[in-house]
Amino acid sequence: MRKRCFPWLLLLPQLFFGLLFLSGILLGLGWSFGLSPLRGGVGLTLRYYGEIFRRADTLPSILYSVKTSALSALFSVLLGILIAAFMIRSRWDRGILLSVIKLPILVPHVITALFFINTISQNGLLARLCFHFGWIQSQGDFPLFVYDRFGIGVILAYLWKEAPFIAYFVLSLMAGVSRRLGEAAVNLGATERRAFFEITLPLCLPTIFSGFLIIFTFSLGAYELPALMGATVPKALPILAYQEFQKDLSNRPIALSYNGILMGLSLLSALIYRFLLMGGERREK
Amino acid sequence: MGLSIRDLCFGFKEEEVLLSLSLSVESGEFISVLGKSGCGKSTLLKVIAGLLRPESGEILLDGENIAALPPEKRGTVIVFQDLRLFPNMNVFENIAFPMKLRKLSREKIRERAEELLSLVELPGLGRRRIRELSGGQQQRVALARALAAKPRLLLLDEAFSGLDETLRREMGDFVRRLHEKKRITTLLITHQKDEALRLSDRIALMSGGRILQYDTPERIYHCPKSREAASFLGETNYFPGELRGGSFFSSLGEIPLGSGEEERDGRCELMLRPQEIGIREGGDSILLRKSYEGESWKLLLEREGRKLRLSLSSSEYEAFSRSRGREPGEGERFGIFRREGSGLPVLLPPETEGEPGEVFHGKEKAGAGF
Amino acid sequence: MRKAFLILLSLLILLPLFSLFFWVFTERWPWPNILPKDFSERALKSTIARAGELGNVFFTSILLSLLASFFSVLIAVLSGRALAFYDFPGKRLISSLMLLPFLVPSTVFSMGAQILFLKTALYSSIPGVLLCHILYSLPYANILLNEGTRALGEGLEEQARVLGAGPVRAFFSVSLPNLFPLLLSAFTMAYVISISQYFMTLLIGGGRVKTFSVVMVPYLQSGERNFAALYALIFLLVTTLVFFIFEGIARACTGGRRAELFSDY
Repeated sequence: MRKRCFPWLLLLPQLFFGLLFLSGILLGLGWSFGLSPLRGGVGLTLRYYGEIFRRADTLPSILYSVKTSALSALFSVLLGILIAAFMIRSRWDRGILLSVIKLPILVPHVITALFFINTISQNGLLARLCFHFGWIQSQGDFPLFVYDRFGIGVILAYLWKEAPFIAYFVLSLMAGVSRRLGEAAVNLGATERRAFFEITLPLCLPTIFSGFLIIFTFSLGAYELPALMGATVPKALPILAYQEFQKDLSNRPIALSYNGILMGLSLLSALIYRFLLMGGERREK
Repeated sequence: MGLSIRDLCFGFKEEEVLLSLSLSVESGEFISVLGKSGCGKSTLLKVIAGLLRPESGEILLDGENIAALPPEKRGTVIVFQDLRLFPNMNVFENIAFPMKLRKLSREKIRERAEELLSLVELPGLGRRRIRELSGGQQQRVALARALAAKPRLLLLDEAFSGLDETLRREMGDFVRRLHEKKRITTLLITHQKDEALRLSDRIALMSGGRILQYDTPERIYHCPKSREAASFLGETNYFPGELRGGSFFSSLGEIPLGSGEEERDGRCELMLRPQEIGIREGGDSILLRKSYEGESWKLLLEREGRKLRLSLSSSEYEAFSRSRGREPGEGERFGIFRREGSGLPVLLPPETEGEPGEVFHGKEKAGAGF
Repeated sequence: MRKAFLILLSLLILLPLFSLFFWVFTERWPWPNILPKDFSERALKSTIARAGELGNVFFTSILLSLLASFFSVLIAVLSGRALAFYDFPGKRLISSLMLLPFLVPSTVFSMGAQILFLKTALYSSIPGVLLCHILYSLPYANILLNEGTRALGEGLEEQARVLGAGPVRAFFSVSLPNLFPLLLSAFTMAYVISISQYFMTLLIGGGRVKTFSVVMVPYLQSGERNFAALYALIFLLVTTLVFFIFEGIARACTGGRRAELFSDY
C-alpha cells in the first residue's frame, strides 16, 4: 500500500547522505587496516597502527587531545548550565542577552583563535596590562597560555565558544521544565536552589550529556584551534594526522590510522554515554 | 439515502478496534454514538472520514461508495475534540480555508464567512486571532469552519468535552438548533448520556467495537436490549423473581405484564431505574448512604444482599421527611415499591457468569404511553 | 549577583569583537604598549583594492552555506515526517544513523571522503564541498526538526484534510507555517556550521574552493594581524547581516500572513 513505502520515499535523501557518510569513514578506516582502494594494497593488517604506537609522540598526543577536549567540554557544560540557570532565574532568557549569548556560536573557531592570541598570549593585551601595572618585568614573565604544553589557551578558546552553545542548547528545555515542574516543587516547599538541583537539573541531564558528547567529539577531532594556538609539542591528534596526510600517498594509511584512533575515542565516549543513559533509565525503573 | 456502514472492520497493532460494525443514518438525521472511552468511537469517525483505512466493510454516503475516496473528497467533515483551529490564521482565514479550497471567489467567501459568523453568533470577530478567543467562542468558530466546507456529513468528535457544564449544554443545544436549520446529517460522538438523550434523533450504543443497540432515546432508555445497554443510560436495579401466567412475582409483589409472554415462564429479573422505585416507612431495606444533588436525592440501600439505587426528587424527599418527622437516616430500615406509571416492565434472564442476557419484555408497544 | 555575572559575561563576549576594529588599523604594536603605536589604513586599502576577488570569495561562501542550510533543512523536514508519523522496520537504526556525524569528527570524515571523491568530478568542486557541508549540518537540523515535527503532530493536517485539502495543500497551508520558527532555528544552525567549516572545505575543495575561512587562515598564521582582523570583521558583519535578513523574513511571515502566501497552491 502507498502508506507502506511512503516513509522510505521521504527518507531517500537522508539515506543517501547516510550512505555517503558511511562510505567516507569506512574507506578511511579500511585503508588504515590495510584494505587499500588502490592497487598494491597489502591486505588486512595492523601494522600501520603498530607503526603509530611505536612513535614517541603518539601517546602524548592522544593524552593531550583527550585532556583538552574533555576539560574544555566539561567546563563548557558547567559554565553553560550556570549561564542558562542564571538567565532563567533573572528572566533574561529572551531579548538582547540571548542575542549576545548566541554571538560566539556565530564566530568561527579561527576567529576565536585570533581573539585569544591577541588577548592572552605573552604578547597580548593582558600581558601588556600586567607589565603596565608592574606585575611582570618582561614578556617571558607572563604565564604561557598559548602555544603551551597544557593547552590552556585552547581550552579557554573552546570555552568561549562552547559554553554559550551549551547554554543555548539547554535553555528552552530548562526554561520549560523549570517553569512547570520547578514551580510545582517550590509550591511543595522546596527552595529555588533545591528545586533546581533536584528537579530541573536531573530532568535536563540527558540533553546536557548529549551536548557534552557533541562538543567533546567536535573538539577532539578539530584541527583549527590546536593548529593556531597549540604548542609544537605535543601536537593534537588531528594535526599529526594531517601532517602525515600531506606527505606522499604511501603515508596515507598512517594518517588514516590516526583518524582511526580518533574515531575509536569518539565511539568509546558514545558507548560510555549510552551506558550512563541506560543506567539512568534503569535506576528510574 | 444518508450514511450506510456495513461490516466495518479496523484493527490497530494487532488489536481489533472495530468489529464488523454496521450502522445506518437517514439523510438529515442527528444521531449520537454513545460509549465509554476506548470503545472505538473516535476510530469510527476517522474511518468514516477517510483518515484511517478499514480492513473490510462498506461505507456508502447518499448511495455513493466513499470508501475508495481520499478524505478531502468525501464531504465528511470532523470537528475534533481539540478543535484544531489553525493558529497561523485568524478567525476569518480559518473559516475561509475550506471555501478557498473549493475555489470560491473572494467576494463570495467574504459573504459566506460573514453569514456563518452571524449564524454561530460571533458577528464581527473575523479579524481576531484564535488565541484571543474564549473556549466557547473557539468552539463556534470550529463549527462555522466545518459548515463552510459544506459537509454532506458532519462528524462531531466529543466536541464539547473541554467545556464547563453550562457551556456544554449551551453548545449542545446550539448544535441541535443549527441542525434543525440546516438539516445536515450529523453524527455526534459522546460519552455523556444526557447529551445523547437530549440532542439526538437516535442513539447508537457502542461497546467493544460493536453497536449494541440503535434506537430512539426513549426506546433505548425504557427498552434496553441487555444489561450492558441498560447500564449506558443510567443506573439500574435488578429484582429476581418468577414469571408465571402472565405476571411477574417477586418480593415487590405481583406485576401483571399483559398478554404475550407466557412462553417465557421461569426465573428472571426485573430491571428498574432509580426513579422507578419509591421508598416508604418500615421494611427490610437498609439505607447505606444518601447524597444531595440539588434537584434530587440519591439513596443507596441494601436489600437481600443486593444494593439498590434510588432517586427521589427533592420535593418528594422533603415530603417523606415531613411525614415521618425527620429525614431518613443512615442505618434505618425502609420499604421499597415499584412506582405506578413506571412504563412497561423490563425483564431479563437471571444473571449468570459471562452471559449478558438479552432482555425480553412484556409486550412491547412502540411509543405506548411512556 | 546573577545579573552582574551575566553582564560580565556579555562584556567578555562583546569586547573581543569590538577589539577587532582596533586591530584593523594597527600597523605596529610593539611591546609593551597598551595601545598600538602606528596606525595605518594599509590593510584597509589593500583589501579594497582586491575587492573584486574578495567579493567572489564572499559570494561563494554565502551561496555555499545558504545552499547547504537549505538542503539540510529540507531533508530534515522530510525525514522528520517519516520518523514522527510512520512506523517501519529499521526505524531505530535510521534514527541512530542520522546522528552519527556528531560522533565522527569532520576531520576524520574529510580524509576518508577525499579518497572517495578523488577520482570523481566531486573533488575540488563546489558540489563536492556542498555535499560534505550538508552532511555535517544535517544532524543539527535533524535533532531540531524531529522533535518539532513530533510535537506539532498530524492533528492540524488531519483537520485540513477533512475540510477538503489534499495532502500537499494540507502540509503547506497548515503544518509548514507552524513549523516555521523551528525551521528558522535549524536553518541558522546549519548555516553557522557550514560557514565555519575550514578543514573540510580545504581538503575536499583541494584549494580551489575558496571560502572565508580558507582565505582567512593564512593571514592568521602569518604576522599580518591587521589583515586577519579585517577579514574577520568583514566576515562577522556579513554573517550578522545575513541573519538580520533571515529574522526579518521570519518576522514578516509569521505575522500570520503566511497562510496567504501558500494559499495559491
